[in-house]
Amino acid sequence: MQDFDPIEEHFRKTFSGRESDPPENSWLKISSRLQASDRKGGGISKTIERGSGFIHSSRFYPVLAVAAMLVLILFIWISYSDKHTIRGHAYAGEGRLCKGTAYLYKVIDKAEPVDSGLGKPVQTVRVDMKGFYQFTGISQGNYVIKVAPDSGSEAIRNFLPSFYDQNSEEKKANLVRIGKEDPTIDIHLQPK
Amino acid sequence: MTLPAEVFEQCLKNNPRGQEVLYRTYAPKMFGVCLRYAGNRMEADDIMQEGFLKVFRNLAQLHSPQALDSWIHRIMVNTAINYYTRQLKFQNEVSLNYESKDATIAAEALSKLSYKEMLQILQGLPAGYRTVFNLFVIDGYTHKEISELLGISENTSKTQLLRAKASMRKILLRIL
Repeated sequence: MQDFDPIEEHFRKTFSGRESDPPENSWLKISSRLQASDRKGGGISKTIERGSGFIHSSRFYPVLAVAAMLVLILFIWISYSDKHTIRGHAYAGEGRLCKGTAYLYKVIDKAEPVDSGLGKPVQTVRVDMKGFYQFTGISQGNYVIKVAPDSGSEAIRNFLPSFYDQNSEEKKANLVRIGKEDPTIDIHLQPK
Repeated sequence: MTLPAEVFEQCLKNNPRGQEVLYRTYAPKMFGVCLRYAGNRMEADDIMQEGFLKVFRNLAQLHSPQALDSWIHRIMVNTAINYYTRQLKFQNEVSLNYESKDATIAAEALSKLSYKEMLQILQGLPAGYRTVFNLFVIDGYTHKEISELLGISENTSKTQLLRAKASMRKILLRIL
């Protein structure tokens, strides 16, 4: 048998069936939310509205901020995960080219040799003292690489600016196909 | 408290006038329920609005319009429980001696308290205590029903009730 508890008894008596006037604007808020869900219509709106209390509350904003950050990280990750690097050495005869410039051209048509003209390079990098060059952040596709010795250098007297793998003529340039891997492309300058 | 059959029909057809009549009929009683489950008046209003939205969206599921009163009441209670789900922390510690009732709080002393004061005491309790106290003492749920509703054990429900009453007794001794 349960003991008589004056606290329980008093609270039960006071609160059972107790009415209290709701705020004046409560009905307006409810009816506007009902109308909004009617306008959206159908099952989708029901699904949305089920969570609308949460969406309308301030507790939603931190969740929104985290979600936006995750989307941003995902976007950056996707953007960079699909990028590649082309690196290699440029050779002038038996030795490596000391100082020059490497040009990377995007090739839209798949024909080989290139027959539509190269236009402007998408990247230009320096060839260092050891003949090393590197293009980064390259998306998948077909490219042509050209290396030119610096004017005034010793190499310019004996070698022509050349395309991969050893052609001075644009139309004879070999395509470099960038797929899933980062290739190493060595270029040999064509002797004059 | 009954709703005219034609109003009920209007509500089933999402008629705004019918919906307003239903709201005006039940809102005072339901706001009373929400006030004692909520931590304050603003939260009570949030709970009541959510509750009525559920009522209007799910009215077609109600097979007997005569059961409307208890159905809306149940929706409000469930909405209140969901509202505080994250805050509901139940500790099943039975070692504390909450069983002993303090004889100094007599019924006459309690009768001096106003409704507003009692509501303040109730709303001042932690959400877990308040919910179990409301369910057991005022709404007449058994500990078994409470355990199923809140996903806790019956013992935890009993402990929460004891803790709630101990907290209230402490406050009452201070103010009476």
